[in-house]
Amino acid sequence: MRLLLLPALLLLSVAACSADETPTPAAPSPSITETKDPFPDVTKDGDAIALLLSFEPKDRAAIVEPALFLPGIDYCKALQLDPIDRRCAQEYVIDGSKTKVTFPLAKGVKLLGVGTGEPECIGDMTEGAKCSVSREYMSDLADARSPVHVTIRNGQLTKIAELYRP
Amino acid sequence: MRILALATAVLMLAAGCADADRDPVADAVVPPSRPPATPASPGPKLTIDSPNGLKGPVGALIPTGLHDPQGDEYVIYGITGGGPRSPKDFGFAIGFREPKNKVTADDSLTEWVGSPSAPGFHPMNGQKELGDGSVQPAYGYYAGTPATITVQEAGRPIQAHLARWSHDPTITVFWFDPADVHDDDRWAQLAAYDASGNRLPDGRILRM
Repeated sequence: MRLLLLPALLLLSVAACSADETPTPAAPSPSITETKDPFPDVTKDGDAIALLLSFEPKDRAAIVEPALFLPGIDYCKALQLDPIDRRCAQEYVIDGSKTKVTFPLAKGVKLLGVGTGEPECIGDMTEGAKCSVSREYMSDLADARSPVHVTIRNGQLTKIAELYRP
Repeated sequence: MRILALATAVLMLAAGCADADRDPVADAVVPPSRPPATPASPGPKLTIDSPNGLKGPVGALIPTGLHDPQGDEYVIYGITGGGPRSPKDFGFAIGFREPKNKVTADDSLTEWVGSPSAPGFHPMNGQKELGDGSVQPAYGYYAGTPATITVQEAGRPIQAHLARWSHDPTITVFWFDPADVHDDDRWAQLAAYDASGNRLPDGRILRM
């Protein structure tokens, strides 16, 4: 709706500009401010950071909460927080979107974790861990509402990778 | 002994602020324990009681006028070493005078991005509630000579106490009296101003 409104307003303003001589009272200019949602969009295929809230392999489903998992300074930039905010100095900030989304698990979903912390398993803060882990391990992550990196294809989770927290 | 130590610290501060008459800001920035206008005599050499490799104190101890429940006064002082940067780079620590010419370093701060002398704020340490019920004040430093430093707490301005660093008077140490702070989770807009009320460069604002 907003997308339709904007061209309409632009057309109106062009029309107002082309109207000669007739003075028109100045109308308040529309102020349309786009506030970008900082949380990942999980309605489309792609990759996202989320909190793993539930992992139910028997039901072939998982519940996630789109989240931010960022170094404090980047978190404050993303949310345009005042730099004196204590979170800006944190090594990383985890912030859930308060939105729960249930996904089916794709057949052969990759389950990755840091395991016992071997360097080759840790991965990074954007792509997540690298080593295969068990379903029980993933359930434990869900019990702890752990941050994970998920990959969504055709509306299904094809990868859940633990995010290492230093 | 404590009184003697405090007197020594005050005398050392007097040495550091010897040019206060030339600095219109100095009157406003001298902490509550105003140094006497007597010539400073060099005090005993102080050492930092710290296992972290901090060196100093560099310059005079800065008495804050704030005390812990035992009546000991928080002092802030310059340090070198102990951080990830060059040993020549400075920072500041907060602690207490101790017997035998020692001073504690309960907590310290250093800049780790860019020059510690770059104009403006540098990472500061937030107010901390300690296990014994005392409150360690928020403190930091500003590279420059502001007349005032303020922070907004839910829209209410709180003014910092200021003191020039005797080792380098272009550096201003600041701290906030915990009695003025009601909810530092609601802090915003840390800012420094000159005597005319002009806002000075922010530098790198970060509260640890």
